[in-house]
Amino acid sequence: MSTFWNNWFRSKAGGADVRDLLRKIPLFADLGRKELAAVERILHRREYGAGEIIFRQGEPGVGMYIVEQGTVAIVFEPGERVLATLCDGDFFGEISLLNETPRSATARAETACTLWGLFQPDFFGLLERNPRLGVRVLLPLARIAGQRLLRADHQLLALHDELEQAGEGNQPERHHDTQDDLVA
Amino acid sequence: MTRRTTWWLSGLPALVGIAAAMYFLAEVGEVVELLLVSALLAYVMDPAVRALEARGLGRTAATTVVFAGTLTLIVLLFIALLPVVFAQFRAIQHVLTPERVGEAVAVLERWLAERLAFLGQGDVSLAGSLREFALTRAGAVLDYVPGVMSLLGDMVLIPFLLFFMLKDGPALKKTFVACMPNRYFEFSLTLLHKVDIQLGNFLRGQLIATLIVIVLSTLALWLLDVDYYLLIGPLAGLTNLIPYIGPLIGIVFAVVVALLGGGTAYTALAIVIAFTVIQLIDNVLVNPLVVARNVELHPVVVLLVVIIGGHFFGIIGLLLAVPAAAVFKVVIQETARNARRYRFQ
Repeated sequence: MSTFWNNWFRSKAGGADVRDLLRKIPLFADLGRKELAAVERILHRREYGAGEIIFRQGEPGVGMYIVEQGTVAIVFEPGERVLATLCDGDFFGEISLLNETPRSATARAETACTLWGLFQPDFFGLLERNPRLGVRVLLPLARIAGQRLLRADHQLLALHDELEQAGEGNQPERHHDTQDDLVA
Repeated sequence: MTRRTTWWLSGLPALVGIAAAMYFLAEVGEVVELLLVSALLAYVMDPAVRALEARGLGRTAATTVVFAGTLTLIVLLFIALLPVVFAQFRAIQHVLTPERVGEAVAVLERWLAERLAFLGQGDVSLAGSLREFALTRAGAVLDYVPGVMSLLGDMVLIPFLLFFMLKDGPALKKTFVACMPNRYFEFSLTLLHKVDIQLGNFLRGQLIATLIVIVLSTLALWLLDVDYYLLIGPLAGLTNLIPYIGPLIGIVFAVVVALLGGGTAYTALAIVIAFTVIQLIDNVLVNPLVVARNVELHPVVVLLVVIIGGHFFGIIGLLLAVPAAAVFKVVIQETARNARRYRFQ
């Protein structure tokens, strides 16, 4: 059966399995059973064939995906450099839940995949209806974003040091003043 | 083959598709009408359901509360106003007797004959023409009997459809998105969301604007001591939904009924001034505030859709032509805009 028909006829699959999957995601780890059910109601189940593109770099980022089963490669174009390979229980695109920035890389299914998509406007709608749930999801999301920023900062500093050691003629100017400025 | 020719060839299936869709819509007009009315009402009532959901109610419970509340309000209004409306309706029937209409027409005939004498038109036989029109159209009255029956059917079907559209709106949307191919999944989600926001704002704005015109018109007629204000006021507000000609119909109807009811020329003038002021308020204050600017349609488009709506769906078509055209415009506009963002073209 093609992914098209699978998406259509198996879109109602879910229940306890999805809630178990959601519990493993840091964003939803603090949610109770009813809250997880509320999140599950706004999820979209999608099936992708091997090699199929989930989203392309530069397209508007409208939400995140959770990998239920399969392998997804995050690829930076041009050059097809694989930034990460994700498998069962991993998630990607979560920053798009906060704002609609263009996708920074392409997501491609490496094997046949089952993913759960969480769309930003649906997520905002849920936060509006249930602000308590919102706080419990947004805090871990902010934490993840902070950790990523910190990691990026470390990588930037390491690169800067490498450049300095390589004795480049024109040393790049530091774009930040303090560590706090970057992490804030 | 030139690029233009290729474009026309590729556009041909789309044109055939649109023609087939129009034919299909005309054939199943009544069903479309029911679905459209229910969907528009569901759009308008959805924020109330969402507000209740935010207070902790489930979707079904929230829908039931909003639905029951609206129904109760309508029934209470009906009970409170029915005796007055009914009395006014009976009275208006007495006023609009054939004799009185005949007298009014005769006065108009004399007035026209005096002023058009220079054209050499000796006898302006309006009464004759009207009689002839009445005789030829008398059979058409019978056509309206099944119409009334179907209206009663609609009064049962519309609330039924409305309830389920309101309750299952998000689930319907999810099912629709589920049948989209993967390449168009995010695109269709974005499109639905943008269309949803724009249409919701437009339709709720239209409803608020109409309610304001209804209240103001009724109030103005009541202050001017015009009988039947509870019939003419709401009618004038509803006709306001038909662009350009709607307000004119409202004014003409109010003036004619007031004059036939024994009103003076002063009353007629006061009605014209009051309705003009209401139109000014509607166009200068209310509309810019509540009706979304980006859903505005070109006057020629408005005229065309009103004619098409009236032709296919009668009075309901006249009233719903502009909202339906707005739906169409927003869908096309957002599809084109988002197709570029997703690099489909």
